[in-house]
Amino acid sequence: MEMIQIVGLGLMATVLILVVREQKPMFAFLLAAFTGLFIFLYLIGKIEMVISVLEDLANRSGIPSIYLKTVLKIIGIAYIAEFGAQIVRDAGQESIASKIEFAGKIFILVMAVPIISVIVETVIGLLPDGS
Amino acid sequence: MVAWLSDWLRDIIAIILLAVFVELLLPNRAMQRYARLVVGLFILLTILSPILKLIQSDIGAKLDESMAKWSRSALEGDMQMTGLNQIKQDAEAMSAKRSLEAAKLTERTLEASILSELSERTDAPIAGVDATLKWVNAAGQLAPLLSQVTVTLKASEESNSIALEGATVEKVQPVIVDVQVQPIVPRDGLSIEAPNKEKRNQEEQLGGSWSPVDPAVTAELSSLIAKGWGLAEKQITIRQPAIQPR
Repeated sequence: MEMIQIVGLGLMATVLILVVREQKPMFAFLLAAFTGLFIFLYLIGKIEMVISVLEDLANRSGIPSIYLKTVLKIIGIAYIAEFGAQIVRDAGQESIASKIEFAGKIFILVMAVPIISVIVETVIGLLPDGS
Repeated sequence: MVAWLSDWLRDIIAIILLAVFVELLLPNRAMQRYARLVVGLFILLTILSPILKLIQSDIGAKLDESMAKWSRSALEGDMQMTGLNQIKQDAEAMSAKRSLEAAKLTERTLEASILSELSERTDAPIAGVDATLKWVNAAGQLAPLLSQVTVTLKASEESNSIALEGATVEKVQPVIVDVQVQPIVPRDGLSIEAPNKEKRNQEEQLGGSWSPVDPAVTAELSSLIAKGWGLAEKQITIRQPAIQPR
Protein backbone atom coordinates (compact mmCIF):
# COMPACT_ATOMS: atom_id res chain seq x y z
CA MET A 1 0.00 0.00 0.00
CA GLU A 2 2.88 2.32 0.63
CA MET A 3 3.81 2.18 -3.00
CA ILE A 4 0.31 3.37 -3.94
CA GLN A 5 0.60 6.19 -1.43
CA ILE A 6 3.87 7.36 -2.87
CA VAL A 7 2.64 7.13 -6.44
CA GLY A 8 -0.53 8.98 -5.43
CA LEU A 9 1.49 11.70 -3.78
CA GLY A 10 3.67 11.98 -6.85
CA LEU A 11 0.72 12.18 -9.23
CA MET A 12 -1.03 14.77 -7.09
CA ALA A 13 2.08 16.86 -6.84
CA THR A 14 2.58 16.62 -10.60
CA VAL A 15 -0.96 17.77 -11.38
CA LEU A 16 -0.69 20.63 -8.90
CA ILE A 17 2.64 21.66 -10.29
CA LEU A 18 1.25 21.66 -13.82
CA VAL A 19 -1.62 23.86 -12.68
CA VAL A 20 0.50 26.26 -10.67
CA ARG A 21 3.37 26.51 -13.10
CA GLU A 22 1.43 28.74 -15.47
CA GLN A 23 0.79 31.30 -12.76
CA LYS A 24 3.71 31.05 -10.39
CA PRO A 25 6.72 29.03 -11.50
CA MET A 26 8.33 29.70 -8.13
CA PHE A 27 5.65 27.83 -6.24
CA ALA A 28 5.76 25.00 -8.72
CA PHE A 29 9.44 24.59 -7.95
CA LEU A 30 8.86 24.70 -4.21
CA LEU A 31 6.14 22.09 -4.51
CA ALA A 32 8.39 19.84 -6.52
CA ALA A 33 11.25 20.25 -4.06
CA PHE A 34 9.03 19.53 -1.10
CA THR A 35 7.51 16.45 -2.67
CA GLY A 36 10.92 15.14 -3.53
CA LEU A 37 12.16 15.80 -0.01
CA PHE A 38 9.18 14.08 1.52
CA ILE A 39 9.53 10.94 -0.56
CA PHE A 40 13.27 10.90 0.03
CA LEU A 41 12.93 11.15 3.80
CA TYR A 42 10.15 8.59 3.77
CA LEU A 43 12.33 6.12 1.93
CA ILE A 44 15.41 6.74 4.08
CA GLY A 45 13.72 4.74 6.81
CA LYS A 46 13.18 1.86 4.41
CA ILE A 47 16.77 1.92 3.26
CA GLU A 48 17.74 1.35 6.87
CA MET A 49 16.43 -2.22 6.61
CA VAL A 50 18.62 -2.96 3.65
CA ILE A 51 21.59 -1.47 5.45
CA SER A 52 20.95 -3.62 8.50
CA VAL A 53 20.95 -6.70 6.22
CA LEU A 54 24.29 -5.56 4.85
CA GLU A 55 25.68 -5.09 8.34
CA ASP A 56 24.51 -8.54 9.30
CA LEU A 57 26.20 -9.99 6.26
CA ALA A 58 29.42 -8.19 7.05
CA ASN A 59 29.35 -9.31 10.65
CA ARG A 60 28.75 -12.94 9.84
CA SER A 61 31.58 -13.13 7.37
CA GLY A 62 34.93 -11.82 8.37
CA ILE A 63 34.80 -8.63 6.34
CA PRO A 64 36.61 -5.83 8.15
CA SER A 65 34.15 -3.25 9.39
CA ILE A 66 36.08 -0.51 7.65
CA TYR A 67 34.97 -1.93 4.29
CA LEU A 68 31.33 -1.72 5.18
CA LYS A 69 31.71 1.76 6.62
CA THR A 70 33.31 3.01 3.45
CA VAL A 71 30.70 1.38 1.27
CA LEU A 72 27.87 2.88 3.29
CA LYS A 73 29.49 6.29 3.10
CA ILE A 74 29.68 5.92 -0.66
CA ILE A 75 26.00 5.04 -0.87
CA GLY A 76 25.09 8.02 1.29
CA ILE A 77 27.16 10.43 -0.72
CA ALA A 78 25.69 9.11 -3.94
CA TYR A 79 22.13 9.48 -2.72
CA ILE A 80 22.54 12.96 -1.30
CA ALA A 81 24.38 14.24 -4.36
CA GLU A 82 21.79 12.71 -6.66
CA PHE A 83 18.90 14.15 -4.70
CA GLY A 84 20.31 17.65 -4.58
CA ALA A 85 21.22 17.54 -8.24
CA GLN A 86 17.71 16.49 -9.20
CA ILE A 87 16.10 19.31 -7.29
CA VAL A 88 18.42 21.83 -8.87
CA ARG A 89 17.82 20.29 -12.27
CA ASP A 90 14.09 20.67 -11.78
CA ALA A 91 14.63 24.36 -11.32
CA GLY A 92 16.31 24.40 -14.70
CA GLN A 93 19.89 24.86 -13.53
CA GLU A 94 21.45 21.99 -15.36
CA SER A 95 25.00 23.24 -14.94
CA ILE A 96 24.77 23.54 -11.16
CA ALA A 97 23.21 20.09 -11.00
CA SER A 98 26.11 18.61 -12.88
CA LYS A 99 28.52 20.38 -10.52
CA ILE A 100 26.78 18.78 -7.55
CA GLU A 101 27.08 15.39 -9.17
CA PHE A 102 30.71 16.11 -9.86
CA ALA A 103 31.27 16.91 -6.20
CA GLY A 104 29.64 13.61 -5.26
CA LYS A 105 31.94 11.72 -7.60
CA ILE A 106 34.98 13.47 -6.21
CA PHE A 107 34.02 12.59 -2.67
CA ILE A 108 33.51 8.97 -3.60
CA LEU A 109 36.93 8.92 -5.21
CA VAL A 110 38.44 10.50 -2.12
CA MET A 111 37.04 7.53 -0.20
CA ALA A 112 39.15 5.29 -2.38
CA VAL A 113 42.38 7.14 -1.58
CA PRO A 114 43.29 5.20 1.59
CA ILE A 115 42.60 1.87 -0.08
CA ILE A 116 44.64 2.77 -3.11
CA SER A 117 47.50 3.96 -0.95
CA VAL A 118 47.50 0.71 1.00
CA ILE A 119 47.50 -1.33 -2.20
CA VAL A 120 50.26 0.73 -3.72
CA GLU A 121 52.37 0.41 -0.58
CA THR A 122 51.87 -3.34 -0.57
CA VAL A 123 52.73 -3.70 -4.21
CA ILE A 124 55.87 -1.66 -3.70
CA GLY A 125 56.70 -3.91 -0.76
CA LEU A 126 56.20 -6.94 -2.99
CA LEU A 127 58.82 -5.76 -5.43
CA PRO A 128 62.31 -7.03 -4.72
CA ASP A 129 64.73 -4.45 -3.40
CA GLY A 130 66.72 -4.22 -6.62
CA SER A 131 69.02 -1.27 -6.88
CA MET B 1 44.56 -25.52 5.55
CA VAL B 2 40.99 -26.30 4.54
CA ALA B 3 39.64 -24.06 7.29
CA TRP B 4 41.83 -21.22 6.14
CA LEU B 5 40.73 -21.76 2.52
CA SER B 6 37.06 -21.79 3.50
CA ASP B 7 37.56 -18.58 5.48
CA TRP B 8 39.12 -16.93 2.51
CA LEU B 9 36.36 -18.10 0.16
CA ARG B 10 33.70 -16.94 2.59
CA ASP B 11 35.28 -13.52 2.73
CA ILE B 12 35.33 -13.25 -1.04
CA ILE B 13 31.73 -14.37 -1.39
CA ALA B 14 30.59 -11.95 1.29
CA ILE B 15 32.35 -9.00 -0.26
CA ILE B 16 30.98 -9.82 -3.69
CA LEU B 17 27.47 -10.01 -2.25
CA LEU B 18 28.10 -6.66 -0.62
CA ALA B 19 29.22 -5.25 -3.95
CA VAL B 20 26.04 -6.47 -5.64
CA PHE B 21 23.91 -4.89 -2.95
CA VAL B 22 25.75 -1.64 -3.27
CA GLU B 23 25.26 -1.59 -7.01
CA LEU B 24 21.56 -2.12 -6.48
CA LEU B 25 21.35 0.64 -3.92
CA LEU B 26 23.16 3.26 -5.92
CA PRO B 27 20.84 5.89 -7.36
CA ASN B 28 22.13 6.28 -10.89
CA ARG B 29 24.56 5.09 -13.53
CA ALA B 30 26.93 7.99 -13.16
CA MET B 31 27.71 7.18 -9.56
CA GLN B 32 27.85 3.46 -10.24
CA ARG B 33 31.17 3.61 -12.02
CA TYR B 34 32.84 5.37 -9.13
CA ALA B 35 31.33 3.14 -6.49
CA ARG B 36 32.33 0.14 -8.58
CA LEU B 37 35.91 1.30 -8.49
CA VAL B 38 35.98 1.46 -4.71
CA VAL B 39 34.18 -1.83 -4.25
CA GLY B 40 36.46 -3.40 -6.84
CA LEU B 41 39.43 -2.28 -4.79
CA PHE B 42 37.90 -3.92 -1.75
CA ILE B 43 37.42 -7.17 -3.63
CA LEU B 44 40.99 -6.96 -4.83
CA LEU B 45 42.21 -6.52 -1.28
CA THR B 46 40.17 -9.46 -0.09
CA ILE B 47 41.37 -11.72 -2.83
CA LEU B 48 44.96 -10.69 -2.28
CA SER B 49 44.73 -10.95 1.48
CA PRO B 50 46.57 -14.34 1.75
CA ILE B 51 49.50 -13.02 -0.23
CA LEU B 52 49.44 -9.78 1.70
CA LYS B 53 49.45 -11.74 4.93
CA LEU B 54 52.45 -13.71 3.76
CA ILE B 55 54.41 -10.58 2.97
CA GLN B 56 53.20 -8.05 5.43
CA SER B 57 52.02 -8.66 8.89
CA ASP B 58 48.76 -6.81 9.24
CA ILE B 59 47.04 -5.24 6.29
CA GLY B 60 43.78 -4.61 8.16
CA ALA B 61 45.46 -2.50 10.81
CA LYS B 62 47.23 -0.50 8.16
CA LEU B 63 44.00 0.14 6.32
CA ASP B 64 42.30 1.10 9.56
CA GLU B 65 45.07 3.49 10.34
CA SER B 66 45.03 5.20 7.00
CA MET B 67 41.24 5.41 7.06
CA ALA B 68 41.37 6.95 10.50
CA LYS B 69 43.96 9.41 9.26
CA TRP B 70 41.76 10.27 6.33
CA SER B 71 38.64 10.76 8.41
CA ARG B 72 40.65 12.80 10.88
CA SER B 73 41.72 15.12 8.11
CA ALA B 74 38.12 15.25 6.95
CA LEU B 75 37.08 16.15 10.47
CA GLU B 76 39.67 18.87 10.57
CA GLY B 77 38.01 20.31 7.53
CA ASP B 78 34.85 20.52 9.60
CA MET B 79 36.58 22.32 12.42
CA GLN B 80 35.26 25.64 11.22
CA MET B 81 31.80 24.31 11.86
CA THR B 82 32.50 22.94 15.32
CA GLY B 83 34.49 26.05 16.16
CA LEU B 84 31.22 27.76 16.95
CA ASN B 85 31.36 26.43 20.49
CA GLN B 86 34.84 27.83 20.88
CA ILE B 87 33.65 31.17 19.61
CA LYS B 88 30.78 31.14 22.07
CA GLN B 89 33.09 30.33 24.96
CA ASP B 90 35.43 33.11 23.94
CA ALA B 91 32.52 35.49 23.70
CA GLU B 92 31.34 34.50 27.17
CA ALA B 93 34.77 34.97 28.66
CA MET B 94 35.16 38.33 26.97
CA SER B 95 31.76 39.55 28.04
CA ALA B 96 32.45 38.42 31.61
CA LYS B 97 35.70 40.38 31.55
CA ARG B 98 33.97 43.37 30.07
CA SER B 99 31.21 43.33 32.67
CA LEU B 100 33.85 43.06 35.39
CA GLU B 101 35.55 46.15 34.01
CA ALA B 102 32.20 47.87 33.79
CA ALA B 103 31.48 46.95 37.40
CA LYS B 104 34.80 48.39 38.50
CA LEU B 105 34.07 51.57 36.60
CA THR B 106 30.60 51.71 38.10
CA GLU B 107 32.07 51.29 41.57
CA ARG B 108 34.51 54.10 41.05
CA THR B 109 31.86 56.40 39.63
CA LEU B 110 29.48 55.59 42.44
CA GLU B 111 32.15 56.21 45.04
CA ALA B 112 33.02 59.54 43.49
CA SER B 113 29.39 60.61 43.24
CA ILE B 114 28.60 59.55 46.81
CA LEU B 115 31.67 61.36 48.04
CA SER B 116 30.83 64.58 46.23
CA GLU B 117 27.19 64.38 47.28
CA LEU B 118 28.06 63.82 50.92
CA SER B 119 30.68 66.52 51.07
CA GLU B 120 28.24 68.90 49.41
CA ARG B 121 25.28 68.18 51.63
CA THR B 122 27.04 67.69 54.93
CA ASP B 123 30.10 69.08 56.57
CA ALA B 124 31.28 65.73 57.88
CA PRO B 125 35.00 65.19 57.30
CA ILE B 126 34.96 62.35 54.80
CA ALA B 127 38.18 60.63 53.90
CA GLY B 128 36.86 58.12 51.44
CA VAL B 129 33.90 56.11 50.21
CA ASP B 130 34.09 52.46 49.34
CA ALA B 131 31.22 50.99 47.36
CA THR B 132 30.85 47.26 46.80
CA LEU B 133 28.78 45.86 43.98
CA LYS B 134 27.05 42.52 44.15
CA TRP B 135 25.96 40.53 41.11
CA VAL B 136 22.33 39.55 41.13
CA ASN B 137 20.46 37.44 38.62
CA ALA B 138 17.85 39.69 37.10
CA ALA B 139 15.79 38.40 34.16
CA GLY B 140 18.31 35.75 33.25
CA GLN B 141 21.24 38.15 33.20
CA LEU B 142 23.68 39.09 35.89
CA ALA B 143 23.24 42.69 36.86
CA PRO B 144 25.33 44.65 39.33
CA LEU B 145 23.58 45.87 42.46
CA LEU B 146 25.00 48.23 45.05
CA SER B 147 25.27 46.07 48.12
CA GLN B 148 27.54 47.80 50.57
CA VAL B 149 28.75 51.34 51.09
CA THR B 150 31.46 52.10 53.58
CA VAL B 151 32.15 55.72 54.42
CA THR B 152 35.42 56.43 56.13
CA LEU B 153 35.58 59.64 58.09
CA LYS B 154 38.69 61.58 58.76
CA ALA B 155 40.11 61.08 62.18
CA SER B 156 39.24 64.40 63.67
CA GLU B 157 40.31 66.08 66.87
CA GLU B 158 36.72 66.36 67.94
CA SER B 159 35.89 62.72 67.66
CA ASN B 160 39.16 61.86 69.23
CA SER B 161 38.27 63.95 72.21
CA ILE B 162 34.87 62.21 72.37
CA ALA B 163 36.53 58.88 72.25
CA LEU B 164 39.00 59.72 74.94
CA GLU B 165 36.55 61.56 77.13
CA GLY B 166 36.77 59.10 80.00
CA ALA B 167 40.52 58.89 79.98
CA THR B 168 42.85 61.22 81.82
CA VAL B 169 44.28 63.96 79.71
CA GLU B 170 47.92 63.44 79.12
CA LYS B 171 50.65 65.31 77.40
CA VAL B 172 50.00 65.59 73.70
CA GLN B 173 51.66 62.76 71.89
CA PRO B 174 52.73 62.69 68.31
CA VAL B 175 49.83 61.08 66.48
CA ILE B 176 49.77 58.83 63.52
CA VAL B 177 46.77 57.95 61.38
CA ASP B 178 46.56 54.28 60.70
CA VAL B 179 45.56 53.89 57.08
CA GLN B 180 45.89 50.17 56.86
CA VAL B 181 42.80 48.24 55.80
CA GLN B 182 41.19 46.90 58.91
CA PRO B 183 38.18 44.67 59.40
CA ILE B 184 35.08 46.77 59.17
CA VAL B 185 33.12 47.18 62.35
CA PRO B 186 29.48 47.62 61.43
CA ARG B 187 27.66 50.66 62.69
CA ASP B 188 25.23 48.57 64.73
CA GLY B 189 28.08 47.02 66.57
CA LEU B 190 29.52 50.43 67.26
CA SER B 191 26.32 51.80 68.67
CA ILE B 192 26.00 48.80 70.95
CA GLU B 193 29.51 49.22 72.23
CA ALA B 194 29.31 52.99 72.49
CA PRO B 195 27.92 53.13 76.07
CA ASN B 196 30.86 51.47 77.74
CA LYS B 197 33.47 53.85 76.58
CA GLU B 198 36.13 52.73 78.96
CA LYS B 199 36.15 49.26 77.48
CA ARG B 200 36.21 50.83 74.08
CA ASN B 201 39.19 52.94 75.02
CA GLN B 202 41.02 49.94 76.30
CA GLU B 203 40.36 48.21 73.08
CA GLU B 204 41.68 51.16 71.17
CA GLN B 205 44.79 51.28 73.21
CA LEU B 206 45.25 47.58 72.59
CA GLY B 207 45.23 48.20 68.86
CA GLY B 208 41.60 48.62 67.73
CA SER B 209 41.79 51.35 65.16
CA TRP B 210 38.19 52.43 64.60
CA SER B 211 36.81 54.97 66.98
CA PRO B 212 33.07 55.39 67.58
CA VAL B 213 31.47 57.86 65.24
CA ASP B 214 29.19 60.61 66.37
CA PRO B 215 25.68 59.09 66.05
CA ALA B 216 24.24 62.27 64.59
CA VAL B 217 26.80 62.36 61.82
CA THR B 218 26.27 58.66 61.19
CA ALA B 219 22.51 59.05 60.97
CA GLU B 220 22.82 62.00 58.67
CA LEU B 221 25.25 60.31 56.34
CA SER B 222 23.41 57.02 56.20
CA SER B 223 20.05 58.61 55.61
CA LEU B 224 21.55 60.65 52.79
CA ILE B 225 23.07 57.59 51.18
CA ALA B 226 19.98 55.50 51.77
CA LYS B 227 17.78 58.13 50.19
CA GLY B 228 20.04 58.90 47.28
CA TRP B 229 21.09 55.40 46.28
CA GLY B 230 18.26 53.23 47.57
CA LEU B 231 20.19 51.25 50.12
CA ALA B 232 19.03 49.77 53.38
CA GLU B 233 20.58 51.37 56.44
CA LYS B 234 22.32 48.19 57.44
CA GLN B 235 24.16 48.13 54.13
CA ILE B 236 25.89 51.37 55.01
CA THR B 237 28.90 51.45 57.24
CA ILE B 238 30.28 54.65 58.66
CA ARG B 239 33.63 54.36 60.31
CA GLN B 240 36.35 56.57 61.57
CA PRO B 241 39.93 55.66 62.19
CA ALA B 242 40.95 56.24 65.76
CA ILE B 243 43.96 58.25 66.67
CA GLN B 244 46.22 55.94 68.51
CA PRO B 245 48.48 57.29 71.21
CA ARG B 246 51.86 55.86 70.90
